[in-house]
Amino acid sequence: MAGSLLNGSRMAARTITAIVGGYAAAAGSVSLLARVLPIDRAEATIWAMTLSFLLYAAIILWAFHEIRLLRVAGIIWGTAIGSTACVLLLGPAL
Amino acid sequence: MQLEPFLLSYAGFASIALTTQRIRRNIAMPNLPKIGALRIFAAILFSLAASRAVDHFGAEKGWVAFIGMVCLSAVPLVLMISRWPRVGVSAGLGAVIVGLGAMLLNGAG
Amino acid sequence: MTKPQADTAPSVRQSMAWIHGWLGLIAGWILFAMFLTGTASYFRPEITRWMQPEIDLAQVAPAIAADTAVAHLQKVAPSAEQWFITLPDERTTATRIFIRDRPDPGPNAKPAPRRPEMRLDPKSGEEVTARETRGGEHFYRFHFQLQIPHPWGRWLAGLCAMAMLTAIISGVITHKRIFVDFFTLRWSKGQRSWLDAHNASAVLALPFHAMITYTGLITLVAMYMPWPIAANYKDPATFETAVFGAEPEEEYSGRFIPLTPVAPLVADASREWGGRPATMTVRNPNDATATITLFQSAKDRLNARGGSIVYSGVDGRRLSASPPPGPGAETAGVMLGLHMGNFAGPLLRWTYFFLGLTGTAMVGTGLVLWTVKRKRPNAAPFFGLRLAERLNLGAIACLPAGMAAFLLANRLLPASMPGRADIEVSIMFWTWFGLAAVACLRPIHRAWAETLALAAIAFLALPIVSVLTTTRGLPTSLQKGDWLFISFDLAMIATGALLGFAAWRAAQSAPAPVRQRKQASDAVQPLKEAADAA
Repeated sequence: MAGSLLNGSRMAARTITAIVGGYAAAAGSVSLLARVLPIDRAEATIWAMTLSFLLYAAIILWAFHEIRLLRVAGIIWGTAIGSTACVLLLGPAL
Repeated sequence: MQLEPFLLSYAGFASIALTTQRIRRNIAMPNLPKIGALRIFAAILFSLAASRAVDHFGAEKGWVAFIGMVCLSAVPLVLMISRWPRVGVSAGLGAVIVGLGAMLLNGAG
Repeated sequence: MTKPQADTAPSVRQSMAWIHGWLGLIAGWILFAMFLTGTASYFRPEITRWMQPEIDLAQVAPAIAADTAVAHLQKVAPSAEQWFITLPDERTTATRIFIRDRPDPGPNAKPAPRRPEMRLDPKSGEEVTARETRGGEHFYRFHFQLQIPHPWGRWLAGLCAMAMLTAIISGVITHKRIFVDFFTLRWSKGQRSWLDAHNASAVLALPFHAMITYTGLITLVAMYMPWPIAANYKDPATFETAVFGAEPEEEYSGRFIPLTPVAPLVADASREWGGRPATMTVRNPNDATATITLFQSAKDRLNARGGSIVYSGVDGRRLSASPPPGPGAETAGVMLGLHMGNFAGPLLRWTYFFLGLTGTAMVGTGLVLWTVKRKRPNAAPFFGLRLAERLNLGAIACLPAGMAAFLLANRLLPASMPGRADIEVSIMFWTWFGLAAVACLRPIHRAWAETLALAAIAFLALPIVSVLTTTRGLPTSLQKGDWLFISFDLAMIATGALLGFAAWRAAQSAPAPVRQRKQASDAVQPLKEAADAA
């Protein structure tokens, strides 16, 4: 993060990754969690929704803590795309 | 009296405040209880506050009431200690008396 | 919050301090407004009642209120599609009804025009009229919609709440000696004092801050994070049915059968729940397919999502009920309940209120700390710092003035004036932003003292204006033991006094040429109280 302070575009990329990518990664991960948790569908859905913000907050903080921007972007966008793809492949349960 | 948990936790925080060296120095009162004793006293006061909160508000709301009042009771204490530390800490003694008094009266009635 | 050096990886604490400072600043102005208006919303029905002094109703049992409301609806809309009835309780004394008319049959028929909500005297079932106002609802709506068109206001509020959540987590990680600093609050020491005040207000009520932020996000979770529903269900309605139970959907038959009396159903539901119903909907009244649904009140328990029971509107048979909540649904419902605090009686409500003020103070002191920290004694403040100072002033000192103006407008605008509800709201925003703009013409330390003093005067004027313009001023309410009005007026006086104290502290620092900047920062010292006050 420190080096990018001097570099506006890197900071912008990091911020967008944290806020937009972080949201996508959190949404994808909890959706996948909701889909695969072996409990009642409604309960799994509610637990996933309830925990989503904690995950989102953790991702945002990590995105600003980890200094290697490529690693941040790779993991966050990778998680977002990977989890969303899994959810789409699995399709809705009900 | 529904305020008991608030008064007891105020007193609990006052005891904890008295365990810090800075405040002990600032108020410079003679015959302060030992730090270990104050800690035990604070723990007792907080448990009493919790039990009174559960008694008054029921198990569910009681815990919310307890945590809320614990949080809130420290605010006036900190404001008092920042300006009039002796008054703030002594008020803790008053809070214990009123709180325990109300508790005993309740128990009797 | 020192900027980490470029050539070394920052420690967790450094990076957390950095993000805490910037996120807190950027979201802080909106968060301050959300906290302050949200705190006021703990008295939403009380504010509304104060803002409609014409209405002074006696309380009745829910079953009676249900009966009188149905009797009124039978007179005015016997063949509506649906009636919505919100039953009164000790805080909201009027019954509220809303009618949805049946759309004309026929393929090209337009939907029936929306009727306004009406309020009834629960004893007589007569409609009550009073001055138009948004009342406490205005503060409540503003605190999560920010007076920005739907859905953008809610999204912005959600983003700020997320910023708050990350700021809380990063703040806890940053704060080294979280329990040692517990009792430290040093006055008149510039930056040091602001840090103390920020730490104290944040740490003392940390459980509340964390709870209110997270549960705030949960209140709108269906909007912010609907994706798990989409991952499991083709049709979101299936999810809603699984959690909340099925809504009756029988088609209107056109066969007239008079509606069954509702009072026994209210009694029956109350018995089943061990608590009372809060709202009642009647579908297809006076039809062979009529159903009556009762929804449990959130006042009796932590879980804000009470159950519902559906009865037949023909013979009062119990048809179905919402499923018992699973652990997840129960947790989400309790989170919702913890945020709204509807379960709280008077003492717990005041506890909530003061904890909310602690949160407001935490945000306010954090904002001021950001600017105080960056001031250099012998250098002119850079543009960003001057901007932050002005925005701080606009949020912390001018919003309370705007809120007071909203309440003053309620008393000063003629009671029968058309469109007065919207004018009241406009007056709040014109005062708030207008004052913030005008204050830019003044040097910053003078501006703090002056705007705070204006806000104080506005609050202190409220009880006086109330005496002059209504029949429920403080002397009368004291005589009659009208505790709602007594408490409200006293709270306004206390708020005014606190803002006045803040203004006095701000004015005290006479600007000497050399120490000017340092003292200007001291001047804003008592803003914690200013925040508390409103």
